[in-house]
Amino acid sequence: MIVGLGEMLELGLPLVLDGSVLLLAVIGTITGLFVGAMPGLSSVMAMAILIPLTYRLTPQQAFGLLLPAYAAGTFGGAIGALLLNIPGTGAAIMTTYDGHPMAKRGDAGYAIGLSCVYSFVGGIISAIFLAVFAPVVAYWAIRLGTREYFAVAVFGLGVISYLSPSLIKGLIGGAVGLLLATVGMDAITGVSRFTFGYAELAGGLEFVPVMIGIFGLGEIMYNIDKGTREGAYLPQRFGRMLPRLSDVKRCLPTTIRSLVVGTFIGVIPASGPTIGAVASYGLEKRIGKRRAEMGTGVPEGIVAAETANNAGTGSAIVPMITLGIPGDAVTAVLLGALMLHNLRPGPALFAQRLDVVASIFILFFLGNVLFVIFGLLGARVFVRVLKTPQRVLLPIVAALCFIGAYATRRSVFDIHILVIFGIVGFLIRKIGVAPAPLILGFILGPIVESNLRRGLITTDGSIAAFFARPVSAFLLLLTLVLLFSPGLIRLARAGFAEVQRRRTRGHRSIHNESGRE
Amino acid sequence: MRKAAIIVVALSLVAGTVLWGAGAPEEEFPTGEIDVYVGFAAGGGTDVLARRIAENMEPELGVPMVIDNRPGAGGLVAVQEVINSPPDGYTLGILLGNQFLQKHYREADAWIDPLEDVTLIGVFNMDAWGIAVPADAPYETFNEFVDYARDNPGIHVGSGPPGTLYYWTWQAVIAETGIELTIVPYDGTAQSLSAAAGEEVAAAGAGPGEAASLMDGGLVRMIGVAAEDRVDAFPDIPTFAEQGFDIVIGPWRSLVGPPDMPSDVVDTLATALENAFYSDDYQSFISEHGHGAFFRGPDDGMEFYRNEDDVFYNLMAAEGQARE
Repeated sequence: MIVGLGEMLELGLPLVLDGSVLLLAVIGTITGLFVGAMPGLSSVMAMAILIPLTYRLTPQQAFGLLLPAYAAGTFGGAIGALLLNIPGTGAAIMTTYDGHPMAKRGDAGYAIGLSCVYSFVGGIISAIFLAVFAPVVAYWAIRLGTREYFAVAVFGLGVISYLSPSLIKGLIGGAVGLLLATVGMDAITGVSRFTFGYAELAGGLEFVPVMIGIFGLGEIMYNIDKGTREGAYLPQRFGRMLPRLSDVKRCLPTTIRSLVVGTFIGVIPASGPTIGAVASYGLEKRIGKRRAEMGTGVPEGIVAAETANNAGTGSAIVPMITLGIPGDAVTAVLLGALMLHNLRPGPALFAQRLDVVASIFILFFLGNVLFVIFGLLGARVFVRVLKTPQRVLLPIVAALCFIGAYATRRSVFDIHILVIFGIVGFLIRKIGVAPAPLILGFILGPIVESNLRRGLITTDGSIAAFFARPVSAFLLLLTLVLLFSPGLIRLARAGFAEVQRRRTRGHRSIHNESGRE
Repeated sequence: MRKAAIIVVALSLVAGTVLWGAGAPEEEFPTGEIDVYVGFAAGGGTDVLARRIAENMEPELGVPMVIDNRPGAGGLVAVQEVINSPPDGYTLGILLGNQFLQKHYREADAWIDPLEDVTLIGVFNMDAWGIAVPADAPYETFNEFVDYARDNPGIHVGSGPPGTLYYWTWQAVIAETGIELTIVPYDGTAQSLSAAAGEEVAAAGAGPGEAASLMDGGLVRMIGVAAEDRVDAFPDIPTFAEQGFDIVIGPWRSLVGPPDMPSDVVDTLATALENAFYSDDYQSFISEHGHGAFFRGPDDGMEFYRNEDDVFYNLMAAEGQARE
């Protein structure tokens, strides 16, 4: 079942090396980069704009447009996150933690360079791994079910508790997020919860306006409240963009861990790049060498988040192309694009149209190469945003937030949601609650809840069954270990010290005894 | 920053045009573009079908039909948008079969009643529902499945979210066979199918087109489709009727407008829809994709609506879940 890379290149390259495909790839990259980077505009929106354009294209042209847009959009999300503390996509939330402090120090250019290069590393390495092992990985992933989805989301929830400097405030944010996630139709019984008769709320609070409100409008109001400084939003020095060799070396363990975590979690259906980035960042904060400095603007934080989320994009494609199971909203769209061209994903596609499969992997690869080029070329332009005076910059960003909230579903209702959550975002900042735990609670809540309840139905109410499957047991135990590790380490240290003391006392007594002799 | 300014302008222009398009005065219908609201994201099954039928209506109507995706609340948001538009024929929408269930199922008053609230132009597709089982399952046919369920009452079967058609189809199976099943609602058909492939459930409800990839992969088998005849693209899957059970059920899609549309406008649109349905392009498209060809005009379509409404009302009433 393992397909040779050489054979793939041989079959796929002729399809990809076509003027129109390459041109579309460039257009897709620029669109993805731009829409992903703009605060308020999301990569889901980029896809919504591009998809109808692909209906009359050949499959290669369609994927030439969409895959680079997907890869570039996931990286582009980081730009808003680090420059303005407003992540452009859900997957970039974790990038705000170290990216924005680094930009505040005047190193925004370097932060962009790091995100760009490590997004590339994550995307490319997961793509190669998955191109070779796609069928094997997909057959493994399909065995995973409700209990594994539950476990991976619980792992993400565990991370929330140690993200914030203040445990209580982090938990408050997470709990509010979980509460907001309960709005809408109950996934198991179908009862409407907190919809107050609005049909618009039947499917739950829409993710895009909530996220843009909390991160975008909330951040803008908070900045205005702090008082407008004249001059640049953040003064910048335009130094080095490409990662320093010393940083590359220092971040090597982080890079490897993030690749593994991002790829592994990305393959689990229903998780996608966001949870991969959360898990990877959380792991670094617990076991990384520089865990104490995470959140202050260290390269490890950016590397952990960006490597993992782009590794997740590669792995989300695999279950889609091998078995027709989409991993997230964007891959669902890609699946639709395949079907539209009479290409039914599955082993038959690998057997009969390996050229198409190969061209898809090559285009994804190409997308990663393109965004690294355009990202690094554009970095100086992006950084210039920060030199814009606040009184000019903030109103523009606010306008983008409104456009983004409206444009995703073209619904005025979503603008109301945006404004309400903008105020919520402002207020939580005033009391010192960070926005990320709230949004993560909101993203993870439905996954945890519906899969727990679904799991309990399929296991006839047995909690123990959640520990009876290797992957879910591993993830749940890891969650527990990471949650309690500081306490455990302290206990272990105390115990060790106690042993030491006893031993020395013992020595002494032996010594005494021997002395008495 | 100039880029930002350009996108602001561009997007507002787009928004402006979309909002503008509706209210042109008509001399002879149609004189301007027609908006078709689709309550599901671009790229999904409903979206693709809607675009294909709309494209084939354009030559006859001589005006562009613009698909406008407004996903939300299982497609309900888009239909509500249509209902609240002027009934001039320039704003239409796609109604999916399961939106019918809202009236009987939901507790809030905000939901629509398709029998009263829309003008039907026509039904242009009906897909077959079916049952997919894990490849290693001990039952080869629907009869064996029924026997298995009799011996193991309460086995788990995967469905779509509660309140959707793919949930109530299992109730139709229960009503017809009298077996006892525990329905596990998943977020969508893809999820319940992967649960069947991973042997988390004993069976999952899905159309053959949706299960095709997993069937190719040797992970699931289909033991029946709920259509009157076998589906062209999947001639090996028997119908339930062949196996002795009267289960014919599936999602259908229709083109609708706001209530009280003038009859000449309805006639023009209905004729265009019928011709588009019988066009070679549309027919070959649906057979290639494993969709079902099914057509009802405005009048027999209402009859079809009423029948479907009764079917689901009875299923829900049997479960004690119907609302008057």
